[in-house]
Amino acid sequence: MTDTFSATASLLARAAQGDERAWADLVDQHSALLYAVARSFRLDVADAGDVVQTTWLRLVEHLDRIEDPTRLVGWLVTTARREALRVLRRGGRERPAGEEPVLDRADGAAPIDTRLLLDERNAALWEAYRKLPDRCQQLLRVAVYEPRAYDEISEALGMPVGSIGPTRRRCLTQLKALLAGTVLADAESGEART
Amino acid sequence: MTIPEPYETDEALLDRLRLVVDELDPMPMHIADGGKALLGLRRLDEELAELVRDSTEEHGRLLSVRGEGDVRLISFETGPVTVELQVTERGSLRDLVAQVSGTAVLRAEVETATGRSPVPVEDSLFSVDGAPAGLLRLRLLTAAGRDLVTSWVRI
Repeated sequence: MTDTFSATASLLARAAQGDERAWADLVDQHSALLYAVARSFRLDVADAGDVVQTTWLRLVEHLDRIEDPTRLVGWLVTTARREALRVLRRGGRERPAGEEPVLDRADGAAPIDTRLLLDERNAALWEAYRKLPDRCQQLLRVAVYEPRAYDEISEALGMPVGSIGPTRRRCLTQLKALLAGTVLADAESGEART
Repeated sequence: MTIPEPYETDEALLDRLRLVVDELDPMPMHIADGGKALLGLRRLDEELAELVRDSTEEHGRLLSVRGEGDVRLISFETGPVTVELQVTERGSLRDLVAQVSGTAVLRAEVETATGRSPVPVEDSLFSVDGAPAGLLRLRLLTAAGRDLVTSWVRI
């Protein structure tokens, strides 16, 4: 934690002084996280790219104002969430909840095809994930990039820790149960075929 | 008969989920590259007028259809200075009216992703017709000799 703190603090300080390399490191480390936030709000690829860009612009504006570098992930997720909601409210691209799975591509491209997955175990994991409640899908989609900042991410996504909403434990327990169910179902159908 | 669940820690499961997500929905490379180019837009000597209010955030318009003539109000503040920006949509163009209070404005510029253009100011009020949709910020030179720049907003 101390290492992460000093590393992040150092990158922020150097970027604030105009160090392009330090800035590039920050962007490399966290862009996938921001993209995940935008996509978890069902934005299409282009809008998600806009959200990532706007979030990085906000950080450029606030480089010398980040008071607590240990909270950078929370700050970034909060900012990206606000930008994503702005896009949704402005753009009318929102679909009624439940009409499309969270991660289906909304830009007219073919829906994500699990046949792309090389590993059957991973295909089963994806299927199980897709059956989770929307909020759990959203939380896990973002948290996989910063597993150690799980509580911070929950809060930043508007799911306060300790509330009745999805928690790490609850979402993971559900995911495991679904996964076990999937494995079982596949085994049964496999037996039935032979 | 039950099939034993393969042993996997929470961390390993999350890690595997990340690999799956990265494979199925990878972030296009150009997005991170674009982020890296933004440090050059950092304000150096200018004072930031922060985005403090955006009418987009205040109305539950999630399911409404965007119509012509929608007006969006955005406010920026720094110290005693307030900038009120009114944005009207006209297809892919935006008509802007900005009102500055708390200081007199000598010069104003509209900055977009493609460059800056000066705007005539009268009584701390100025307007722009047909700005392109996208990122925008305002740059102001105040009578006190301060350079103000607003937060970027996507209009």
